Amino acid sequence: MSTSHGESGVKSNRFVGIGLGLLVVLAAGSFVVAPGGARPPPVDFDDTVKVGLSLEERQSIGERVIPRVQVSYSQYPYVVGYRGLGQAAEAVDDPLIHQQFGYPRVVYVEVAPADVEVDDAGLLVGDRTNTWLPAEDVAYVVGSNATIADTTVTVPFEREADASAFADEYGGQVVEWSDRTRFEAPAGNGTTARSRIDAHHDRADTTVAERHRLLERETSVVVGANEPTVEAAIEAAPPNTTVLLPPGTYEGPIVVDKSVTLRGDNATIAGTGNGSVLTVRASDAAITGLSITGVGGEQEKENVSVEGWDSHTVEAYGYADSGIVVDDADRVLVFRTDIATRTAGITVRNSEETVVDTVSVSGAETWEDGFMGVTTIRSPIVLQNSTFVDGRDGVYMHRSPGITVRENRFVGGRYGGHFMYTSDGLFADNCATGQQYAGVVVMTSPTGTAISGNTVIESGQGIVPSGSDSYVGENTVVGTRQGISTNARNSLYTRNTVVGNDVGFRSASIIPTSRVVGNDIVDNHRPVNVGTGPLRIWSHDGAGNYWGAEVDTDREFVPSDSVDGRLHRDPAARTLAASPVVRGIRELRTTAPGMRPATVVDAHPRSTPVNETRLERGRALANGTAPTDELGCPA
Amino acid sequence: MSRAAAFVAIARRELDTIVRTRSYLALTVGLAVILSGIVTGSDALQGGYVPTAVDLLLPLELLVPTVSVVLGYRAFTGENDDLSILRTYPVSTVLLTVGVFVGRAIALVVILGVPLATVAVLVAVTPGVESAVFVTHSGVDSPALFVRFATLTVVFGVVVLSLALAVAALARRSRTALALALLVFLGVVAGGDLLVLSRLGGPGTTVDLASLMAVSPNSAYRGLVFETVIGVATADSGFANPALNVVGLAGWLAVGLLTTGIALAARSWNPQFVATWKAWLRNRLPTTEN
Amino acid sequence: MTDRPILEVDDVSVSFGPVEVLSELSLSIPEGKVIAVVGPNGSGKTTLIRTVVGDVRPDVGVGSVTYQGPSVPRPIGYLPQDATFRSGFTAEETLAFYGSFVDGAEPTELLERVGLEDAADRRVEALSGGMRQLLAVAQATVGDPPLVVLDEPASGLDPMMSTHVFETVAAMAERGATVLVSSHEIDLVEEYADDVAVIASGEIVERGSPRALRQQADAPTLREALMTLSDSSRRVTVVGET
Repeated sequence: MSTSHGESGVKSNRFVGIGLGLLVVLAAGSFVVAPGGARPPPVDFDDTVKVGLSLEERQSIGERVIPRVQVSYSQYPYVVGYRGLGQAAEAVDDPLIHQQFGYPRVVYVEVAPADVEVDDAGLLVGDRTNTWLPAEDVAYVVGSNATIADTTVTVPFEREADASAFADEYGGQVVEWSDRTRFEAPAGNGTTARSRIDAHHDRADTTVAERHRLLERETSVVVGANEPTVEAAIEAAPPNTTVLLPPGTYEGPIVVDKSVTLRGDNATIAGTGNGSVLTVRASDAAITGLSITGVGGEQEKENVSVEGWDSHTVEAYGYADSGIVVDDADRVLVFRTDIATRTAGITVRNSEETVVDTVSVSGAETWEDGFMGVTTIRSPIVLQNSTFVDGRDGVYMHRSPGITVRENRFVGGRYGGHFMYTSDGLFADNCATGQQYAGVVVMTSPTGTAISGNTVIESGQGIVPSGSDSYVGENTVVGTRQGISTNARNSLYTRNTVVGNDVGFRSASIIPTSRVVGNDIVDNHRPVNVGTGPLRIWSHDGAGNYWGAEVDTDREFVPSDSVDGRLHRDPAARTLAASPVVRGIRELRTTAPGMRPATVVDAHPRSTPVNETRLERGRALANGTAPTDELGCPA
Repeated sequence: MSRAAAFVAIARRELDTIVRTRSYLALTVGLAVILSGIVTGSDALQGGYVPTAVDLLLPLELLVPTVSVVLGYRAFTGENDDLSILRTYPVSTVLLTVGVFVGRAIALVVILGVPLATVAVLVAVTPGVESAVFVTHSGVDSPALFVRFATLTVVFGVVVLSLALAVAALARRSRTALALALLVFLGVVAGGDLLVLSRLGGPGTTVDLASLMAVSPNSAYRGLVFETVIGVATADSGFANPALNVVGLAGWLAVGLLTTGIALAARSWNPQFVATWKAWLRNRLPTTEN
Repeated sequence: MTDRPILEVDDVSVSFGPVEVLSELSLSIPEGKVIAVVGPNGSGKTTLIRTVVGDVRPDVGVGSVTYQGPSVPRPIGYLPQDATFRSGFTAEETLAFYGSFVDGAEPTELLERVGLEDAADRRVEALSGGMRQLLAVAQATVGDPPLVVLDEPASGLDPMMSTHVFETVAAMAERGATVLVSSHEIDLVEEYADDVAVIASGEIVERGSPRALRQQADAPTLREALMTLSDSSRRVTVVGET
């Protein structure tokens, strides 16, 4: 007779056997299925992480057709959207991209309408189709007349017949996705911006030299002696001469509507406290040797109305009461002039090749009450050798591509330099200290910004770039809450000295395509603060950054790691860092970066600083032993 | 009674022995806590199944041999030694070896499987990278890859278990078993790789590394994980020769089981055998008198 | 029930290294009887038992151990000295496990035979020493082997338990099994054994029924008989190294 135990034993044996069988099937099945499943379908382009074309370019292109691409990578959680086939094709084959994002699982291309045309500006005209096809199924026209921002556009078509027809009319050839190396892509990795710096300086030097010739004009009228008032003197003076203002105070407001040089000798122009004081409306005019006071207090004017997509901005920022206004006048020089203002110092609108040199603007004590030191509206000026104390922003640049801001001192206020919709700007060799928000900020994602050789001390943040193809190099950032942000994409951050900040670098770009190499990042409380996004690798071709003497250069350095991030201030961390478990785990992780958020790895940390001298100076600035001038900038 | 029934009885007894020993329950729970702790401390859970597997790979290379050795090294010693009684029953050595192995292997599947399943659940319930602004997808990441990883881990554990059983069969006393078990553990965790390293030569020499690594059990395991789990997600390959790795692991399994069987069969000769050799050695070695 | 020996140990020597434990020993075990092996400690009793059971092989080329009984799956049942059972299993489960390999009486009946039926569901670690011994005896009878070999089945038991064990042994023989038992309990041997073999220094030195030995030694009890007969070897010899 079988016992109950025996029966339940047999039943449980069967249970175990079935369970085991299921597990075996599951295990075997896992090796048979192709993981990753089917190709993901295309998504709404607005929901992708977008790369390519600055905001300004997009605004000016407006609703015209921009060929768009979206890519899902195997190890990147977001769908990447590219504006431009050349850029997408480059990215898809880039080994650095593969290392960080995995391989592209699927590439969808939005085809152009079959009847798309090219207008006189080279832009594609037509309706957006919102038809997304796998890249292999699309026909492409390369080498046609279609351009965007000086780059030939590759135009995608659903049907080869349409592509041929387009090529017949606008030139070019029909090719396939496998020929994508022929898609032209804008060069964009920050080196372009860097290589343009010297040429940029040369052009600025030329412009400055030309404007300085305006100071050589013969004096034709002396105010007081020849004419009673400044206005009369200007009226009387022949063009291309100098009007001299002997020592004294003169009443404003004054309008310069002739191509003359207004030279002051210890002369002050005092406004009435309403409106701007000195307005220049004539090209080839020059202002030198004056002090300006009595500026009005209005930032925005009611009766001003402009056109264009940026009308709101221009109305809000371009018409404030200023010490000096340069309006629609080219090739103007403002030289050796002091301005005391509670609103704007100098506002330059729609002016080409204007130079503001050796000017001093002193603004309101609290930045909320004050306004900009220099405001440029569509005026790529050269601003150099000037000093801005307090007020709101030192220089506010709106749609002034190619502007030059160099060798100035910015003290206090909200921002030192503030780029808005301005590409290809150069911000070089300036000093910014004591800004509440940041020494220099770039907004609206322009391209080609170069921020080089500046010193930022004890501002809220140091350098906050954005956009793409930017170069941030040779800067010294000391004593801020956050030294340098790497928001700009496809950019180069190199040879910066970042010392004694709360956070050295902030890595915020959700799509890490920039290079951060050759920086000296030392004595910051946290070397790196990492935001959302996949693993970033901050070394290139065997060269990384210098993180301080405590770092073991035989292995990778992970500044975002809780252990490595402490090495410089906690000796015990070195013991832990040498632990085989810690090392093993870290090494293992970098082999499969994947969807791992918030990590930065320097594969080849340096054993010596990149710039020893600048590092020493940075350290001296950090602990207050460096010689500085009366404003706090390095002497 | 049929051989199948005998086999089931033996395997079942091993399984019950494990199940009824409290400390193995604690081991399973402890392992689940450790693995969960490892992945919770890092950012892997958010990343998905593959980053989680990457994070667990190194700890498991140490933990799995530990669990397997603990599970196997006393299978035939002490209280578990009823071989002299079993010999009187119609139970062949092969049946005994395979039966004990299968029983303990099933236990190992549970002891390793429950913690791994726990981690898989953690991954499943942890929201991935989410964004209110951008659409997100999970990349090439799927539970199937984690099941592969778990399978390979269990296979690795089962191979080491067979070696641990060999230790239990060879040793007659618990002390000997412990010493031998330690040797096996070190061999699996470090020895294989050291052997590979010693064969490497300088950096300029060419060596079929992938094949060499198949000889080391933990490297074979690691290679298979890289090739079939991690590599799939990143479309990389060439990490290892998967066929050779499987052969390597199968080879070690065979070594373990064969050694176990032979050692069990030889136990009846053992005391005489050992004593004879001890005497032979004593005659050979110099004594204090000479 | 014939008188043909169920197992023949013929001229067997067993050495452990340089030490000879059994020296050209011969012993024939007649069927259906209870044969007791007695002898001082270190005389080779356990080695003889283990040789009979097959746990130990005789030295090669010397002698043989031949089983001549019925051809069944489990010919010899064995209770080793200091037998241990796996903890965590009940008495019934333990017997059921061994019973998986052979046909025969159910665990319940086996337990009844040794008087352990009330302890069927008790875990082995919860059994007293005596009950564990009884369980071990029950294990030896799993599958109803024709030859049951018990190595000191009464060791560590109180007199009542010891008696109970030997009663069980006698009942086994009554059911037709041959029992080979080694023991120190000479009184119980005298009462329950049909045949006594005396082993000393690896050899069988005396053999016969208890009565025959008493007569041979002209002693009133088997105990005295054995002491008389082992006069020449009073010293306790320990087989092995000193």
